[in-house]
Amino acid sequence: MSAWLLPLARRVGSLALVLLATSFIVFGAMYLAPGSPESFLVRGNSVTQETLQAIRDQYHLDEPFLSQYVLWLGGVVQGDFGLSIQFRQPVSELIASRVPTTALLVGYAAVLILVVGVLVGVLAAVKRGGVDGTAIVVSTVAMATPSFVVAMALTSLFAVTLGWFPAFGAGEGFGDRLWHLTLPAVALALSSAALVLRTTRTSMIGALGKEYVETARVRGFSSSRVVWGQAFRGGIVPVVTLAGLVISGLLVTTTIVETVFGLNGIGSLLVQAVNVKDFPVVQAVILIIVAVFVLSNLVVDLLYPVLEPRARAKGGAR
Amino acid sequence: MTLPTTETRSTHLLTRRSWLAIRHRGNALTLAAVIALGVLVLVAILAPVIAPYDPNQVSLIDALQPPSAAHLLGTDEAGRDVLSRVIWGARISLLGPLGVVLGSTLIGVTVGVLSAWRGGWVDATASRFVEILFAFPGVLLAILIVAVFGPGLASTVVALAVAYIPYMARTTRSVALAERQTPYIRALELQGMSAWRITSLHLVPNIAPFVLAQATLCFGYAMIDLAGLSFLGFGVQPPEADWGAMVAAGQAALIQGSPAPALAPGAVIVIAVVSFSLLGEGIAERVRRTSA
Repeated sequence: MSAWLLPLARRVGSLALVLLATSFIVFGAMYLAPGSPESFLVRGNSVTQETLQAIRDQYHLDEPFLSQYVLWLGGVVQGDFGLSIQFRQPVSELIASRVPTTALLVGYAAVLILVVGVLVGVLAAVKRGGVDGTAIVVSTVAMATPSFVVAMALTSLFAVTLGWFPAFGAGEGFGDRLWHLTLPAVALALSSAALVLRTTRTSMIGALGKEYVETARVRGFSSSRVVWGQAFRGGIVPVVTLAGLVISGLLVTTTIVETVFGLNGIGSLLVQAVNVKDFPVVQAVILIIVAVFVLSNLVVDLLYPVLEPRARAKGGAR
Repeated sequence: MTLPTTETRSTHLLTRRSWLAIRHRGNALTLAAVIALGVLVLVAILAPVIAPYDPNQVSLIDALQPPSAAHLLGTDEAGRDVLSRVIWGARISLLGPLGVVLGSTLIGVTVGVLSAWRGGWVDATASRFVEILFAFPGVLLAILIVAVFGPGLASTVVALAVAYIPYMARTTRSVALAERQTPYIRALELQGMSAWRITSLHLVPNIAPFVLAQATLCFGYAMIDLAGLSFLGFGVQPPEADWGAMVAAGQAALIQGSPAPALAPGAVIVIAVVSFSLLGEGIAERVRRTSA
């Protein structure tokens, strides 16, 4: 057990270091701007003397640089990102109100990525031939298509020409929301689904050639049992690792997709905050996305020995 | 009933044959990619000669015309010729990613060779630096830089160049480590040649094909990222426009039923990125085969 715990401790340590460095970059960026930090923070926004003092207090600008950072980080760790300069409202509240839309969108896209990517990937590996060729061509193009181009093509076809789905907005109630989020979710998912498809295909072709799969085949197991019962269990491991990475990476792409479809989520909040020069919001959203990204990588790393019995036998070492 | 053994043998044969087919197809695809990219580069260089109209010529009476003989891709919401704008847009759309790739390759190769050559604390420090940068998605770093310095091509290109360093540094470090162990490098070291001369005259030229393959792949990703940032309004500023900014400008017309101003530049981005990834894969494949 300790052989498993030591690499874990090392992973958590390096994760903490990455998060600390990220927070320092996000905080220190303010000092790279020309002029004083408070003139940078209020630029473009008309503020009263009290607001200016509130901003000075929020960032502890009367303290030396390092204590500013430590005090700010202390707040961040407790979920206190200060007040939005634009709205004079706690940044954490602003973000909390936006989380459900983004969570539903990313969840929807994740389901699409896993279902389409894994199913078609397995199918391409098993059938080969025409199915495989088509899957390769389509996924090559899909991987090269930016989300906003997918969004435009989908909007033109399914919203403008056919009128099946709305081009804007998030909708009310669960069913209506899913209907509204369908085009955005496809736009968000497409290139990642193609990547998952490719990885599944390669990994399954490898797994189908393994000895234990061959044995199952020789023993007369049905072909669906050979594919799903035997080959899939080994073949899915690299896919899980990749899927964790690409799904947490979707948070970055929500900046584009939410902006295109007029959705009030985290991503569009970041874009709006940059446009209205609301730096506390920019800092908070970037930190949260990087933290989610890094944490999901850790979760995937921890899942790895559970999914891959050989790695567990070797004490979690890779 | 088919015997499982025959079935497996036939799949083996099939895979071998299709693998050969893929190899041939791979060469043809690499060639197609080279041609497509060559055409795009020529279009960018010859833009003043081949563009039928001034890309910024506003003519409101001609707004949103469908594709016709006079305007092959129609006109946009300001009556500008879409084809001419796509042709002129090739310049920034290709120069931006070029800047990203050159910057990240220069720094990434230096960092990678240095860590492989020196090892020890240099390697440890550089690896940590690379690891931290890896956790910071490139587009987010670019958005942070834009939030601090304001939008523009320079902000986004510099930010993405920094964000892409890890990809170049990791590849370089691993191939440079392997190259370092080769007898000829050892022999040069024993002859007393300086580390600087060995690395710059022998090691770097020898690992250059690997670096080129990785840089070509990065070019495609950089193009997607830069176009996305331009789409959000963070990249190149009007009246200049790359393909990403043109797609964004075309959204309103697309909703009104004129998709060409948004979809034409979008399609060109896809063609360019597919070509870069096919070319990158082609170079990587060739390098693998010759070095194996």
